Amino acid sequence: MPMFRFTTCLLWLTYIISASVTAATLTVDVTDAQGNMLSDSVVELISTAPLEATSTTEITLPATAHYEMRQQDRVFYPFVLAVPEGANVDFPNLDRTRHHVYSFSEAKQFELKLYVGTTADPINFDKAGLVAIGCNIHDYMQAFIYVAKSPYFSVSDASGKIQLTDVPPGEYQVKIWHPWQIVAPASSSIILNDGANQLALSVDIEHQNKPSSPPSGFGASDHASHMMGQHAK
Amino acid sequence: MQLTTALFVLSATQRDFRQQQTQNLKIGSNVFVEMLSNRNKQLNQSLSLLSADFGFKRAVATGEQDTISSVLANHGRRINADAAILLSPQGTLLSSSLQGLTKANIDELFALTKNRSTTFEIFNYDHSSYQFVLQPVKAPTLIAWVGMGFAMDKNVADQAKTITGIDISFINQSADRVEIVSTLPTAQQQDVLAQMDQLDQTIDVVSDDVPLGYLSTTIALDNNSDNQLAVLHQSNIKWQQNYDALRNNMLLVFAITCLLAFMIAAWFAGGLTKPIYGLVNFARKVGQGENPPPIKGAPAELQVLANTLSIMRENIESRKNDLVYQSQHDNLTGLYNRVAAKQLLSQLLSKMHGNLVMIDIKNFRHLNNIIGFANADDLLVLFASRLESLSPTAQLISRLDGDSFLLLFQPGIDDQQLDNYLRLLTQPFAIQGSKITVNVRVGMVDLSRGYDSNDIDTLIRHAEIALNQARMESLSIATYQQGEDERYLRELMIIRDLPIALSQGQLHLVFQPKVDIQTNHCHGAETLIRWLHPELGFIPPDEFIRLAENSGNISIISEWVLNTTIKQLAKWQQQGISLTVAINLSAHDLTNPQLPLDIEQLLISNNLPITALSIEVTEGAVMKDAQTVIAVLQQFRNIGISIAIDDFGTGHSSLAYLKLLPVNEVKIDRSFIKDIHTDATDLMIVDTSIRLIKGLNLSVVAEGVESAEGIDILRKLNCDIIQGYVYSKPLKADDFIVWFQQFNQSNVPF
Repeated sequence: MPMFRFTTCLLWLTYIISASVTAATLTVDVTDAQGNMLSDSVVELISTAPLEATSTTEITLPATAHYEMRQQDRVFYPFVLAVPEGANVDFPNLDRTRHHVYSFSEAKQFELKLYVGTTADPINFDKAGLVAIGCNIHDYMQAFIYVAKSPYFSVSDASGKIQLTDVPPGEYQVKIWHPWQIVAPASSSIILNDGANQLALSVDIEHQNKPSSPPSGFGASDHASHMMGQHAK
Repeated sequence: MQLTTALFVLSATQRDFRQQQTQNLKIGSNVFVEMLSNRNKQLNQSLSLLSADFGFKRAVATGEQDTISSVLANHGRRINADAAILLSPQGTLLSSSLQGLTKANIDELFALTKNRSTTFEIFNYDHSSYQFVLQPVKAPTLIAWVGMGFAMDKNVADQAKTITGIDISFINQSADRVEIVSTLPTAQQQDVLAQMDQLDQTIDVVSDDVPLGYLSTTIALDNNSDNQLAVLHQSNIKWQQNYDALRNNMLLVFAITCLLAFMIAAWFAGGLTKPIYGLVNFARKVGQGENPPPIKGAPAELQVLANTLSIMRENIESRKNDLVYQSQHDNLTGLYNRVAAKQLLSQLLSKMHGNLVMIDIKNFRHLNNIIGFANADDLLVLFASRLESLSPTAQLISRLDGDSFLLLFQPGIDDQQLDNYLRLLTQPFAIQGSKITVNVRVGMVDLSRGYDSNDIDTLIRHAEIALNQARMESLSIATYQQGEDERYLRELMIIRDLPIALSQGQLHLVFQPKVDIQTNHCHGAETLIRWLHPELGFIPPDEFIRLAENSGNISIISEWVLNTTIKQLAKWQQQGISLTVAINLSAHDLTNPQLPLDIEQLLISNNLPITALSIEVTEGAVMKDAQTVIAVLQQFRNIGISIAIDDFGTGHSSLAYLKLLPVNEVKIDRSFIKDIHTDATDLMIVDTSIRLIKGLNLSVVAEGVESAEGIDILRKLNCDIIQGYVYSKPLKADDFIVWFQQFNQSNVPF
C-alpha cells in the first residue's frame, strides 16, 4: 500500500517536472537471479552527463513530502523505504505495544525509545546511505531506509516493477539495491532518451522471509533466531 | 589341579576387572564429551543472551575500539569468559582480548560461525586450550560476531572429574612446549608428561600406565591436530586392591588346600602305601621261595589281602612239601623210594661201615596172581611196616621197586641177627582174614670192604648182584663176593658189545666136520660162532649166546650166522665144493613162521641147493611156543631142509620131543660120548639111544668124540655121523675146506 502512494507521488512529481522540461520515463523490471519478480528493490539513477541543462526550476524534492516508517501489527511498514537525502521520516507506532526503534547504521544512528503513538519529531535522514532499522524489544522487526542521493529512485513493487517519470534524458548510472542481496550488484549506466525507456535488472538475492509478527506470547523465540545472515552494506 | 583352578579364576577375574575398568573409562570419556557439548550449549546460550544485549549491540555498533574492547571485557566477565573476540561479518578481527592472534587463528574462529553444530570446538592459543563459542550480533542485521573463549583449566577438569569420577588431564602441546592441566597429583602429571609421545597413539584406545597405576584413554579435542588432548585416567588402585585381595585369598585357600591334601596324602601314605609296600615285598619273597614273616596291622582290606597271601604261601609251602615227600617216598608203603634212598645213602655213608641189605620177596609175581593186586599191595604195606618195626632198626628202609627193599644197617648186622630178623619178617601176614606166608631172599653188601662213599651206584649194584646170586643159587642170603661185580660187568659188556662186534667183524664162523663113519666121508659141518672181543678176549659162545638169548639179542646172531654161512657156501659152490652146513637156530628163531621161506629164498638167490643148509635145534627151543615151533619145523621139512635135534639125552623129555618134532637127525650129547670107550654105562646109554633113534628112522650124530676107539665103537653101534676133536676141532672156513678136501681125497669111501 505504501508503495502505491510513493509511486503516485513520484508520478505526480514526474508530471510536474515534465510540464516544463522534456522528460523520459523509465520502466524497470526487477527480477532475481532465477528470473522471479523481485519486490523491495531500490533503483537509483545518478546523473552522469545530463543532455540538457536543468531548468531553473529546481528540482526540489519536497522536503515536506511525508515519509513514514510505521510500526503496525508489530512489523515495520514498508520493509524498504526509499527517501531522498534530507528527508524526514516519521515512525508512527500504531501498535498497542511500545517499540524501541533504533538504528546503528552509519547513515543514521538513532533511537526512539519505547514509545507508543507518534513521536514529536520525525527523524531527519541527511546522509545518503542505507539505514537498517530494528526494534530492541522485538528482535525480528526489521526494515530498511534507502537514503538516495539523486532524486530519481524508486522501490520495486510486488511485481518487481519500477516507474520513473519526468527524468531528464541523459546518461545515468543505474544503481540497484536489495536488502537480501548477496553481493552489491555492479552499477550499470543507461542513456535515457526522451519518452519511454525500458530496463531490466536482476539481483541475486538470498531468499528470506520478510519479518512477520510471531504469535504473541512466550515460547516463540526460536523464530527470531532464524532470521540471520543478513548483510548490511 | 588347585593351581590351575586358581590361575583360571585369577586371570578371569583380572580380565573382568580390566573390562570393567575399560568400560568405566569409556563411559567416563563419553560423559566427558557430553559434558563439553552441554557446556557448549550453555555457553552459546549465555553468549546469545549477551550478544542480544542492547547496550552491547550499541557499543559494538559504535565501532570504537576502546568501547568495544571494554564492552567485550565487561560482558565477558558476566559469563566468566577467559577470552573475547569480535569479528566482522566478513571474518575480520574487530577486537580481541587475546593478543597476537594470527590470521590462521582468526580464520579458525571465523569458521566456527559456519557450522554451529552442538559439538564443541576447542581453540588452541598461546599454549592454552579454550572452548570457544560464537554468536551473531544482530542490530538488527548482523553487524558482528562475538566470540567468547573459556579456558580448559583446573576448574573444568575438576568439574569433569566430579561428573565422571575419573581423573582428567588437558594437554596442550606445541613444538616446544607441553602444558598440562590435570586433576592428577603432580607426580603423576610428570609421569604423564614423560609419556607424551605415547599419548597420540592412545586416542580412543585404552592404555596402561599413563601414568603408572592408571588405565587411560585419550580424546582429541582438536579435530585438525593432536595438539590438544583430554586424557582420562581411570585409577587402577581400587581394582588392583580388589584383585590383590582376591588373589591373596585364593592363594591362601590354595595353600591351605594343598597343605590339607598333603597331610591327608601323608597320612594315607602312612596308613596305606606302607602296608601296600609291605604286601608287595611279602609277595615277592614268597615268589622267590622264601618264607617271610606274615604282615600284621594293615588296614582292614589290606590285612585281608595280607592274610590271604600268608595262607597262599603256607599252601605253596605245604604243597611243596608234599611234592618233596612224594618225590622221595614210595606212594604205597611210605618208605623212601629209590631216588631218596640214593641221596640218603650218600649222606649216611660218610662213615663207611655197616651192611647194605637188599630184600626181595620170593615169587612175588606169582603171589600177586594168587591173592590179587589189591591184597598184594596190602601185603607190601604190612611188609614195609614190619620192616620198620623190627630190630635192629635199620638206618634206612626204602622200597626200590616192586618187591625189593633196600635197608642200611649201621652198625652192621651179623648173621645171627639177620637170621632172627628174617625169621620175624617172614611171619605170616594177615590179609583179608587169610594168613599169607612170604619167603624172602637177601643180597648183602659188607660196607667195610673199601667202598667209596661217593659211589652209591656201585654199592647198590653189588647188593643187586648178591641178591641175584641168592636167587640163582636158591639161597636165602648171599653176600656179595669180590669179583661178582666183575662178572656182572663182563656180562653187561658182552651184551652191550654184541651188536657192534657183529658189525665190526669181531665174530667169525668156524666149521667142525661131520664125518659119516659108515662111509668115512665128510659131507658137511656144523658151524659155530667164535667171538674175539678186543678187551675180553675170546668169549665162549655158550656164554654170549646164553646172554644174547637172555637179553633178546639172539636174532641178530642167528641172522648173522645165516648170512655168513650162506655166503661161505656160495663161495665154496663157486669153487666147486658142495657140502651141507648145519646152523644152530634159537628158540626165538623158530617162532618166526617166515624164516623157512626166507632161508629158502636166500639159498635160491645164492644158487645153492636146498641141501646146502641144515638146521640144528635144542629141545629147549620147543618149550615155549610148541605149536608155532612145530609148524615152522614142518615148514623146513617141507622145503627140504634137514633138521637135527641137539643135546639129546640131557633135556627133560627128549623122547616126547622126538615124537613131536619133525626131525631128521638126532645128536647125542657129548657127555655120553666122551667116555664111551671107558664107561660102560655111557656105552649102554648110547647103544640104546642109537637103536631108538635108528628105530625111528632118524640118523644119529655123536658129538664130542675124542678118541679113535670111540669111532670104532660108534661105528659098530651103527652111529651114522661123528663130530669131534678126533677128527678136527672147529676150523676157520679156509682151514676147514683144506681139511675137507684132504680128508675126502685121502679117505676114499668104502
